[in-house]
Amino acid sequence: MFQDRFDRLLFAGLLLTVAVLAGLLITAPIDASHVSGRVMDRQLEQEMSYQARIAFLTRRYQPVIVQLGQGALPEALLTLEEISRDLPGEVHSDLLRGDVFFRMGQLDRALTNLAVAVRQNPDYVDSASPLNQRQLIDAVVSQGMPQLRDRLRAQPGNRSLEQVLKDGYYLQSRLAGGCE
Amino acid sequence: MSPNWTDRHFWLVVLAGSALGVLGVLLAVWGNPQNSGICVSCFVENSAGAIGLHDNQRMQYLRPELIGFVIGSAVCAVLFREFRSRGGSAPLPRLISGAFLIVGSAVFIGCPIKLFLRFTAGDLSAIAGILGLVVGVWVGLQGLSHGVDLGRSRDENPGSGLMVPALFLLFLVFLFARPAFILFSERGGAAQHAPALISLVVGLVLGALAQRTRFCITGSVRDGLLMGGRSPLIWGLGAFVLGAVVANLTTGQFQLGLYGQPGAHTEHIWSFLGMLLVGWLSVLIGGCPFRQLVKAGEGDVDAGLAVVGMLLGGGIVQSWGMAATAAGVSLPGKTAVLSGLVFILGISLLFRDRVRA
Repeated sequence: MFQDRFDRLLFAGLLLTVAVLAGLLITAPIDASHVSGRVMDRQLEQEMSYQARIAFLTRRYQPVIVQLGQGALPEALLTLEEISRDLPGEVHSDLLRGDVFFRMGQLDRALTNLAVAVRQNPDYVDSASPLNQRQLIDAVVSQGMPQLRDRLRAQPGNRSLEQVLKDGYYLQSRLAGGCE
Repeated sequence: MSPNWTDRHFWLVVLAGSALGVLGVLLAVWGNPQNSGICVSCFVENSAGAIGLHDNQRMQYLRPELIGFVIGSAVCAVLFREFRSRGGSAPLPRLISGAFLIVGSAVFIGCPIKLFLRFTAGDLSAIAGILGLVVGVWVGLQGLSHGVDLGRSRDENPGSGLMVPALFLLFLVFLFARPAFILFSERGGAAQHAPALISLVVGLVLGALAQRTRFCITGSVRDGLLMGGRSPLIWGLGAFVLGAVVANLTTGQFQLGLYGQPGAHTEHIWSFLGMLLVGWLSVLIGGCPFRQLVKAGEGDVDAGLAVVGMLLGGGIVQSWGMAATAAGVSLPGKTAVLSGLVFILGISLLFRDRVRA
C-alpha cells in the first residue's frame, strides 16, 4: 500500500486531517447556535408555526367548543359556518362539524366531515399529536359503519351511501395505523 | 420438483425467509407502524426525510433497519471472503431504476417485503400487488430471455465498494449522535418505531442472512417461475409467508378483510401497476430494494447506485406528492408509475442484445 514517498505523504495527510476533524468535533461547543444555525432555525420555525397553529385553532374555535359543551348543537353549526367564511379551507371546521353531526345522531354526515378533516390533516388520528381526535373518530366509525352497511343492504346501488361507506373505510384504515 | 432436502444452503434460505417474516411482524409489535415492521421503501422515504431530502415532517427518521441491512451484509461478506468491489454496468439507468423502485412501492404503499407482510396480516388488498409483482417479474424474465441486458459488471478498485457501507456507517453515527441537521419526526408514521438498538440488531441479522443466502422476495418469485419447487428461494418465500402468518396470528395482528386495512388503499389497478413496475425493474437490475441494499453492502457498486437512486426517489415521492395514502393514489403518483413504465420499456429497447436473442 505504501510503496513510495508520495503514498506515505498522502497517508500522513489523511491521518492529520482525521485527527483535526476528530479534534474539531470533540472540542466543539454543544451550544445550538454553533451547530448549523440555519437547520436549527428551520426546525424551530416549523415547531413554532405548528404550536402557533394549535394555539390559533384553540382560540378561534373556542366558542364552538363552549356551545358543544352546553349541548347547543344548531348554534355550534352556525358558528362553524361563520368561521368557515373567514377561514375557507380550514379543515378544523370539518372536524368539529363531524363532532356536531355525531352528537346529533347524523352519522353519515359525521363520517363525511371527519374523512375530509383527516385527509387534509392526519394529526387528527395521530395519538402523538395535540390535535388527536382518535376517540371521537373511532366512536363515529364503530357506530356509523354497521348502520351504514344495513342501509346499503336495504338500498343497494345508492351512490351517496356508497361514498359515505368509502369515507368510513378510509377512516378505519387510518385508525388501523400503518405507513402514510 | 422438490429441492435437495439435505443441502445446508436450502435450510439456510428457509431460515432467512422465516426470520424475515417473523421479525418483520415483531418489529411492528415493538413499535414500527402496523404491517410495516419491515418496509424498505417506507424506510428509505423516512431516511431521505431525515437527511433533508424532503420536508414532510411526519416522515423523517433514520431507520436503523436499513443501516443494519447494509452493514450486516458488509461484515458477513468480509468474514466469508465474499466482499468484492464490482460495477460499471449501466450506472445511470440503475440509479434511475432505484428511484422508480421507490415510486412503484410508494404507489402500492410498500416494498415487496411489506407486500407479503400486509398479505399475511389478512390484508386482501395486497393481492392486486402480488399479482402485479408476479406479472412484473415474468415480463422482466421475458425481457432477459429476449436479450435485454444492462451489461456485465467488472471488478473495480476495492475502494469503490466501500463507499455505500461507509455512507451507512456515517448514518449509524448520525442515528445515535443526533446532530442538529438530521431530522426526527415527533408525529406521524416516522415517529412510530421500535427501539433503535433492537431495530439495528434485527437489521444486522437479516442483512447477514440475506447476504449468505441471496434471499429476496422478487428473487424468490423469479426463481419460482424459472425452476419451480427446485429453487431453494421459493421455499424461503414459503417460510417467510408461514412465519409471518403464524407471528401475525399469535400477536393478534391478523385481521382478514379488504377494507379498512392499515396503510392500504383500494385502487387495485394502481396497486397492480406499482408492483408490476417494481417486479420488472427488480429483474432488470438484479433484486428488489432489500436486495439492492444487501448487494451494496457486499461491494456491488451498481447496487450502490441503485441505493442512492432509492434515496433520491424517497425524497422525490414525498416532495412531489407521489406517495399513495389510504385515501388513494394521487395524480402525480399515477403519472410517476406510468413514467416508470415508459422508462423501463425504453431501457428494454435500448439495452437489447438482438444478436444474442
